[in-house]
Amino acid sequence: MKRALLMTLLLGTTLLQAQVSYERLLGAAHEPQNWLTYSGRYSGWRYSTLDQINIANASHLAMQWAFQVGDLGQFETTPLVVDGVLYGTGQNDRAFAIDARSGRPIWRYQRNLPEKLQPCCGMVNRGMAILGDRLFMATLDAHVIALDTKSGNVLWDVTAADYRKAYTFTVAPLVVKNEVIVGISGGEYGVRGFIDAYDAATGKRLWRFETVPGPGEPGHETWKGDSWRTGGAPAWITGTYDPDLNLLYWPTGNPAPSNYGGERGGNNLYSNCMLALDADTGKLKWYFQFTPHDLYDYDATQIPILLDATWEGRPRKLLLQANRNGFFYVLDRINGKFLSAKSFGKVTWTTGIGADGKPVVNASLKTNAEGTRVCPGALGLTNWYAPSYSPDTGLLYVATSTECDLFTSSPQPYRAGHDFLGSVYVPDPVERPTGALKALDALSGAEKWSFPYFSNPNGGALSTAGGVVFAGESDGNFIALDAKTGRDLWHVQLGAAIYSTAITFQVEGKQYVVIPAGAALFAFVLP
Amino acid sequence: MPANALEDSEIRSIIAYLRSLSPPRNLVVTGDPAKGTQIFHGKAGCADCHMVFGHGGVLGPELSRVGASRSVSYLIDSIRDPNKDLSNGMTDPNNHYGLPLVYDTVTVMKADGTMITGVAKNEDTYSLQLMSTDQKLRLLLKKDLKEVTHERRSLMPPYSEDALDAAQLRDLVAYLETLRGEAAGDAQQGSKSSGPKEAQ
Repeated sequence: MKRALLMTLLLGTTLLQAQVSYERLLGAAHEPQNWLTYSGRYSGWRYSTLDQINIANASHLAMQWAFQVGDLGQFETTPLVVDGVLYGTGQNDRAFAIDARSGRPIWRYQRNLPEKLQPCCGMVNRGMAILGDRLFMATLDAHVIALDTKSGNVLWDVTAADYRKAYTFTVAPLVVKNEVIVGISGGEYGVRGFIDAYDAATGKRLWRFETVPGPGEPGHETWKGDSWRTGGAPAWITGTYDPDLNLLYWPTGNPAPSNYGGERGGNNLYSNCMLALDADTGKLKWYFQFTPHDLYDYDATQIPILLDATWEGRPRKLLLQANRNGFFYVLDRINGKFLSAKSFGKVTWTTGIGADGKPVVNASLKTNAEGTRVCPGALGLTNWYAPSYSPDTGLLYVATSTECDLFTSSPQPYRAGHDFLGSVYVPDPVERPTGALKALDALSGAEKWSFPYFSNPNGGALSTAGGVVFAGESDGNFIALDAKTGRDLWHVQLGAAIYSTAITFQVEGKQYVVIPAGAALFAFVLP
Repeated sequence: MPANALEDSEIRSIIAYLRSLSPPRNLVVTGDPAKGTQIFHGKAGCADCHMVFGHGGVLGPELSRVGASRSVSYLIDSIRDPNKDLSNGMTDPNNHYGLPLVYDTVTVMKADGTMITGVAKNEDTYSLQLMSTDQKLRLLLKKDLKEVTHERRSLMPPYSEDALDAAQLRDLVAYLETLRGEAAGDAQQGSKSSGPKEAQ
């Protein structure tokens, strides 16, 4: 009896204290019961092999639990799930661990934030990374911290940048080997962007890649005068990683000021780029710039999807990105070579993408003080919310918006810690924007189906081996669609805008789907 | 809108500027508010669709504060050309990047071919909460509808000079100008002679 009790205790302890090794992160796709990284796996697919919930039964989904964060604002987290425990972050840099079966909290963490913070777009946080028995979180006051998985206690806390100059973190970190990798926010305030790696054990910074090159560095010549000092190019969405190439793929955001380019002549590298960095050193292997000298706030901060496929008759390592500027790109991820671009909605800022991958700027649409209507608008044809790739259908699922904006543009002096936009944009007052979840052929970019939304979205997509795509609307509907056809299978109204993307996991043989909405996490299961 | 770290003095300057955009309380309007009240509740039929202090219809925007929130020129434009700028409907406080619905014209076709026209109190991908022109609330599921059409025009008819001459327009605007969210008071001369005074 004693022995049985001891075994039970040991097994129970093992269950709750399982270490998340780097090897487990590498093999995350083979642990569908868990959700171990921001995109579910290093390749960025946001796809699960779980199939208990499928097209035949998704219409029976029912809520299992709800967890109230206790704060208002945009709830943008992607939780992690490890062996029955769900770890998430909330508004104002809250964090929590909850029992993934019952929704009951195990611990809560609330960062003591300074009063004057300047995140551009809400007091948001998109989630944590995990390694061993540590969780890693990047905070609004530009710190990186490690929390103990069992207690939420702070294990280390390091300063990455000065929040008083509007440097902030909203990103969910990515762990690679022993590194905690983060990218800074603040493109609306004239920060100089960077991507950092920290030692998971100690918090010591291992490397930094400045996304705006300084004097003497390649790319510095793409900035007029001293404009590089306040050039923006933040890196606020979690990148992806190819372990075979040991390359980190991390996209960057807009140059600053976002809507006035007069003082920053040149292509403004490495704004709006896909960067391929050596994961050990942070050295740049290659870059591809989607929108040079951007005037419309077209951050390239959309999650890159890594896919090995046959391209023009031969196997190739590809990188796919549905970009905010309205084009779906395919690149060779070994060398950054441009392979194709296809628009997936209305685009007027360019007349097309050339054979070299460079856009042909529509000169008649240059912004001015009076205002020019440009499509897509500043929020993009898509945005940071996650896309999903399903190997079962070969389709990429992308939430899209029809919004076009009226852009104005005028000089603006830089003041540290103040917004630095170079004027403004407003939605087209005549045409109410709508949205859609689109399924694109992952190689050609051809649209296979489109599920219309009444409003433009803020939430992304999750696909599963059950043949289901889950998506969230800004009008509060959480939706399940047939991944092959877009057929509407099920929806539930959650009462508040959805600003994130679902995850799925399994505990004790039951598949869960979890989505944040408003100030709560909602978990759904089959009855 | 990005957060900002403006100095207090700068914030005060912005507030002063924003307040300067609000129409002054004692703006001189040459019409007679008492006559305007009669027009509003009588000839022009405004009260058929617009509520003031609990009296009137519910198809159009409530107007009990319209004198404080809209300029005289805006009021005139709205009467003469209601399509020029459609008023906003409900804003979703949870949708930080969303835009409010507007008072446009919504027409639905039901499965049996029946058509209903009205304004949307709310709408999403799956449902529509429609205030029809007969001022009945229609709670509709889109799966039951054949079609939902939005036209960017107001259901309010334009009041040309034939319908409302210049003097009547001045009287009506003078009445609207008194509507500042206070159901009683000296400023609301017009309210003494009709419905609004009962709703205190």
